[in-house]
Amino acid sequence: MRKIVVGYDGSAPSRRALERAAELARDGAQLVVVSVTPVTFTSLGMVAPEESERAEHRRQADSAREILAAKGVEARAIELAGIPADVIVALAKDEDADLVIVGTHGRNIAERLVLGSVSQGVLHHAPCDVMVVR
Amino acid sequence: MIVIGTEHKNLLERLLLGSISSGIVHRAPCDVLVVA
Repeated sequence: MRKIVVGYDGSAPSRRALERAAELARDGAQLVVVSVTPVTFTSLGMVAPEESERAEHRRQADSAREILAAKGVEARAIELAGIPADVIVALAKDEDADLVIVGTHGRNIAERLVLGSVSQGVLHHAPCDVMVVR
Repeated sequence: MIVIGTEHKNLLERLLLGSISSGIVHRAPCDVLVVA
């Protein structure tokens, strides 16, 4: 287990995903945490996110790095914009990751009837092992 | 934790196994590791 990509959005499952990542990092794995600023779509096409939203997600990525640092784990934490599952999968490919860790759901857990869209997308398209954390 | 493997041979198997893994992941009471 050399490199792990972790999706982080501040939700409870994603905080537990960080904990799982920290456990694995103690065995020597490198961590890359990504907070994805979602793009939205209208009938006219894709709408780029506001700079303030990207700044918010950069802060989210920074807080993930701080959470890990408090556990004695060093990690890279980045913000990227796009469709969250696609961005996480593409990052896993670019980083040649051995594992992607994501939460079951994000902040909107009202739809408990189905698995969250990001974990579903990552499960179906990731180039490597996927750990889904609840 | 539940650990499950996937071995995607053809499109049909990939679709079926994909829905099985999603189902397990959704219903499991614990974390699930899906091994590629």
